[in-house]
Amino acid sequence: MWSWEAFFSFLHDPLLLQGAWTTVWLTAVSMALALPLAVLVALGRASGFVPLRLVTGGYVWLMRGTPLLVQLVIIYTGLPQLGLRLGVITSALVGLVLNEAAYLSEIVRAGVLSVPRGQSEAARALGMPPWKVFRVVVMPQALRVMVPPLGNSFNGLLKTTTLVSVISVEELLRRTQFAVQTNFRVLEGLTAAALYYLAMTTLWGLVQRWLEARVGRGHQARPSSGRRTRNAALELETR
Amino acid sequence: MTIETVVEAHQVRKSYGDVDVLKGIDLTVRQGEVVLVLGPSGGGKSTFLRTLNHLETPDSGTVTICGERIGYGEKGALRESRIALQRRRTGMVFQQFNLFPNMTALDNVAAGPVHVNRVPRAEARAAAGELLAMVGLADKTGNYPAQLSGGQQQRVAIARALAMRPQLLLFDEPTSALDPEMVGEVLDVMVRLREEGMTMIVVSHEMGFARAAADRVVFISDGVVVEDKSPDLFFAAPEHQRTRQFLDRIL
Ligand SMILES: Nc1ncnc2c1ncn2[C@@H]1O[C@H](COP(=O)(O)OP(=O)(O)O)[C@@H](O)[C@H]1O
Ligand SMILES: [Mg+2]
Repeated sequence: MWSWEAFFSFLHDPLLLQGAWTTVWLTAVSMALALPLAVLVALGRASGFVPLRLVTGGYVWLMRGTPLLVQLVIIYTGLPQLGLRLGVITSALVGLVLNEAAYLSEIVRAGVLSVPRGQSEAARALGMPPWKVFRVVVMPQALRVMVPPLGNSFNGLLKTTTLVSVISVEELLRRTQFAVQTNFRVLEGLTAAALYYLAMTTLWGLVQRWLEARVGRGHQARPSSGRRTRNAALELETR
Repeated sequence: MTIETVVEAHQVRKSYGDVDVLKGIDLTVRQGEVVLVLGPSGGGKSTFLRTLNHLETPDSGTVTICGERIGYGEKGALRESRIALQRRRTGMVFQQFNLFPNMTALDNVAAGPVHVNRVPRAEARAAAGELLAMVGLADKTGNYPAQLSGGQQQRVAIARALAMRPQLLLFDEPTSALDPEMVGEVLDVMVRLREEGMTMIVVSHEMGFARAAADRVVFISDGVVVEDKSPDLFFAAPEHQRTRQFLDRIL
């Protein structure tokens, strides 16, 4: 039997609300730390210095080739065996950041490679030093390509954080499991939790749309004369 | 009055693998001179132009711009961030314009002063507005490159190069990507720059421009300078077989 009463009380349960908040900030902090790390890893993989390329390449291979769940348990439960004892939240953050950065570095790499060579050449010809070329010209254009997949990663990470419940981080899922134990209304409790996740990912979807419009400046613009477009269409026809 | 040498290239060589693209190019350009570079496709014109601001590192030979050796200091090869400083003297205009698509015309032109010379943005924008007016685009300052025609984009690109107040402008086939009816508006700007005394090296096959605006024509083929003389002499009496064959094909 489904109980609306139980369902609504779960929706209002401060236990769940606090858990949802933990989920949100874990995701945001992990993403915020993983992104700069991913940029460094992507630069390392593009570097001319072979050892750096090997280390960063090996890191990505390792992180993407093993389950996050295994990584988390190793960090929280396994490392103390070597004398390295990390707190619950620290373990969760370390695991999420290291794992996510490996995936994000691929997105960053694809984004940077998508910027035509002529762009960095024009910037260099103006006299911009390398880091300005990267920050002022390459990165903003790479971002346009990167924002949609980065947004999807954020959406994915919101849900991936459920895994850290296994090392006893009290995020939304674990809090829901606690709450359910008082009345054994499993279906109502987890449905409420699912609704929370849905609300978070939906809100994020709106933020993502806004971000995409922002970084797309100049690109959605149509040529005022339409002449180039017509020429392109002609070329296609004659092919 | 002394005539200052702006460009001094000496025995510039460059190979890619076992392809010798530049086989020892010499070129001297004095202040205010307009040098037109002609030659068959694949002859090394772009590569040579790019060695002049070290976008391409020569294997050997020297490039000196306004008395400063490009790419090398007293202690040998310079780092890219030091070479960047040297590049401020040289503006470059590309065949494909290479405007920054995410910036308006105004911000494209202001980009150099703002990000290289640290000019305050408002000041750089004001100066950029004047440059855009100078190339006839006063009403397009807020347009993004995608909202401009090819000819307009190339004029923005010229204004962007001028914003750094260069001593020398390099043009690599500035009109080759343009629809024919837009070529004139770009060449007009270049002719005006010549009248204002700008030193320019222009790779182009626009014969009208060669006759009207060039002080010298340099013919580069197979990585060497085959001829280097006034346009009149060049077109009337080309000395070499290779030059005659080339002229027969394009005239
Ligand atoms: N980065 C490069 N790697 C290998 N070969 C190149 C490169 N750039 C130019 N080349 C070769 O050098 C030759 C000269 O090219 P280029 O300077 O562009 O000639 P042009 O501008 O006169 O048409 C061509 O054969 C071209 O294929
Ligand atoms: Mg070329």
